[in-house]
Amino acid sequence: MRARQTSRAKQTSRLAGAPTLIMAKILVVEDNEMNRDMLTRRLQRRGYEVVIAVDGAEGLAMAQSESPALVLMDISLPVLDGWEATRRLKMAPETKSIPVIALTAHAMSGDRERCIEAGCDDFDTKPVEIARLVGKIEALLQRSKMQ
Amino acid sequence: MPAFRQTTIKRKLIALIMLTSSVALLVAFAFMIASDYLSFRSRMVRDLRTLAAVVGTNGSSALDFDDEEFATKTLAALAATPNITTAAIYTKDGRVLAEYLRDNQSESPPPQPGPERYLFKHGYLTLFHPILRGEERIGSIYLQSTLHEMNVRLMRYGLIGGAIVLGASLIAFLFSSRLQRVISQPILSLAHTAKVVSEQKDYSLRAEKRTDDEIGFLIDRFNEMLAQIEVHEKEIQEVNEQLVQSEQRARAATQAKSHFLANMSHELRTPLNAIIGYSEMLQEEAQDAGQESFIPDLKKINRSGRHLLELINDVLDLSKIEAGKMELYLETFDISNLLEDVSNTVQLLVQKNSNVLEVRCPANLGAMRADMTKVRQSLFNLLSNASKFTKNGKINLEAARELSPTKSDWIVFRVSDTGIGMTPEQQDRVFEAFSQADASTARDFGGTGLGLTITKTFCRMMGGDVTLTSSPGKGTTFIIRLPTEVREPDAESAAPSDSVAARLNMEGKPVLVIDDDADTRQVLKRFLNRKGFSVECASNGEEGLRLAKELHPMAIILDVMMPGMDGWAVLSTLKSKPDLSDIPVVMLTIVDDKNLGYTLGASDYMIKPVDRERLTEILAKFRDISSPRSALVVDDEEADRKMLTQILEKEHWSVIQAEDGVVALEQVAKHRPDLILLDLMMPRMNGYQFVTELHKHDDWRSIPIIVVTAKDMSTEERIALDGYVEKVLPKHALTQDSLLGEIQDLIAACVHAKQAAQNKPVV
Repeated sequence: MRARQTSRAKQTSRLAGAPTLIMAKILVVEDNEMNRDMLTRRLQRRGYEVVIAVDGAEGLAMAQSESPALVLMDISLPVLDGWEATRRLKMAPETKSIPVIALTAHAMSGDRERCIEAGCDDFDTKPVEIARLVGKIEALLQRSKMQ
Repeated sequence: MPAFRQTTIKRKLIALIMLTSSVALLVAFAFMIASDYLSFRSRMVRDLRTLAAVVGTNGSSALDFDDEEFATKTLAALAATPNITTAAIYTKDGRVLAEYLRDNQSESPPPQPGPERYLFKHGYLTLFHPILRGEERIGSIYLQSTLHEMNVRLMRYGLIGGAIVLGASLIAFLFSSRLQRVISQPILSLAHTAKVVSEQKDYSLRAEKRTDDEIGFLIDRFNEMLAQIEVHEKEIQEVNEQLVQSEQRARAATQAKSHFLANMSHELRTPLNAIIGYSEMLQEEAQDAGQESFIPDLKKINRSGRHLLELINDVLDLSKIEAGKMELYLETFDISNLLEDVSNTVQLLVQKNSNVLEVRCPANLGAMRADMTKVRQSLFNLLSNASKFTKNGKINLEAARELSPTKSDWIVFRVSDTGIGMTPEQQDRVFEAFSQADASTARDFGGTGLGLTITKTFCRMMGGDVTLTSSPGKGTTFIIRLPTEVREPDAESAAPSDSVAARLNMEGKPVLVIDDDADTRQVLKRFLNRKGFSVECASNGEEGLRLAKELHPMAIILDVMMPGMDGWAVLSTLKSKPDLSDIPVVMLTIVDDKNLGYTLGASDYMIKPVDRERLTEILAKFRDISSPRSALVVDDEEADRKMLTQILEKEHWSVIQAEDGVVALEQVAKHRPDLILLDLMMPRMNGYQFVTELHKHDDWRSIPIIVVTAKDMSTEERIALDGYVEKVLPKHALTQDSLLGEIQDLIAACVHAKQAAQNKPVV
């Protein structure tokens, strides 16, 4: 499972500078201002449209109102944490199909399991390695485009 | 004799006493008989002599006249003495003058007189006696007497003696049976005490002393020994208790340390993220803006940041290991893919010291089942180590399958370098935490020195190990050996939610999951446990049917594609058995063949990936709850009240809300809830007052209460609630998710405790 993802990440990482879906809208749910700023700017540099939310509840609301193509979800969030936000996102029919990439601080085996359990489509660790993350984003965008 | 040695002391004593008394009796009796026999014999001889003399005197005149008739008459008088069988009178020249035969059986007298003496022979006493007149011998007389009388007498003596011996033995037995207790009883009671002491390990027992003899002495010594053991035991116990306490303290300290480290690591990582991220971003922007000269410095910032991150991650791993919180996540993965992945990741590090990495991996290596993240991290640690300590050299990464005829196979990873190597002393310490080969190495080569410790722990967790061979100046080879199929660690490290699930087990019937894929089983089990279902798993159809028969589960979740007996076969078998056909079966599969499923009798049909909500709903339908559980949520904050209500309703509770203690009491009076979630700070009547009021009613005292508060409680406030509420959950410190988990766990525990002890107050 992981191996496949990594090889896919490798393939797409070559395309990192030139996203296939220009202007795809990505919702970044992140409470830390600097992390949010970095992610936003780096994604925008690569041509994505970025909308932001600062906690899980706002993230849920934005996912409904903005209908982004993908959600980058931090896990330790105030009000509603990333797990619960993802769970609810995947429960609601209108947001169910939006792919979610969880961002955890440290790759622990338990995190990955919880990630799958909560319904995340993929996960990555912070600090973000932008090329790898873009690879994952592109892979998921491709997949949802195919469906 | 061995038999005697084995017999009990009681029997030995009886036997000894009886033997002694019988022997004494027999000896005495034998002497008596012997002396009686001898005196009887001499009396018989005397009597016979007297008789011979009398008859001789009577018969002397017959001899004088050689009168045969008179002699015969004289002898005939012997008929009065019944023991005389034969008699004869001989003349002086030895001729038989007359003879007397008692009856036909009597033997004839000898034709010639023998020497004049008595003789016991062939059961007779015979006597030749001279017949004298004055000094002159005029003939002789022969008398034969039977010994019948003596034999009878002897026989009677024997009988009497036997009876006496027998009677005496009996009396001796009775006496000895009683008397042996004097000796055996204290010994037996001592033995019994010893047995009880050794069985119950109760060293406060004492043997009872009844006598002042050697046994009394023995008992005294035994008791002294017990007293000494008791003292020792007490000392050992005290030391043990101290040990347990200090161990608990040490463990708590380690956990506190690990907790602190984990928190610190998190706090450190947040600003570090910014350093790494912004330095990377600035590199990109510097490049775009043509400010190339900034780039090397930005790279340094970025690299140092990443190094620091690595250190923090290692420290965190180690603290998790120490706190026993490191878990295994097992999955099956392709080994060559992993090697490729790791070698790609480590490539930059390898090239930094102008090293060459060579990966050797047989084409047919296949897959293994292990915690891939940990295997990868272990290999990465070894490879980055090798890269650090090697310059202009070669680093080899090899993997091979090691076949074992008896046990399961092993996968062996070998990382060798041509670097600086290690001395034997360095090799000894290399796996210890915080011990790089040399203090200066840390400066020269970087790293925490934790990588190898972590690697070793990971390998051991997975049932393998890591070893090394090295010689200074020539290079080092690290070898990781892992089982091809790593097994789950024992259940003792299971998550606390599992133990709640185990308690719930008693509450209702389990859900049976039949699926050949271990990951699916594990994920379903965890998820359903969280939802309050107990779960049993079977990895194939046959096992599934066996468990279904054994457990009669509440419902069965059944996979279709399984090796051997597939899901359809299992389903039709289940439905064909009258005792199993009532168990609802939910098909959970990637095969979309609903019609076949429903035709065969499935209650529901779900297609993977699992829609958890729907699965919960379906199972909740089957769940046999006698009455719907009701909860009262007491909180003045409407938002909090709503949130708690939502959580509970998701778990199929019926929820009543109250905004303060007064309303809550009214609600309780209207309908007694099964659970109360209580805020403390409320207008009109606060949580403390509410609890006090509630406890005035006998009927309400047993309602479990969970306090959910935003208040930082003092010790006194906690004590005030102690014994009244099940648990205090702080609102602010918990995320929604963990709050949910806590509440679910407590609900499960409370419901169980309540059911176990219906009207007993829950403490």
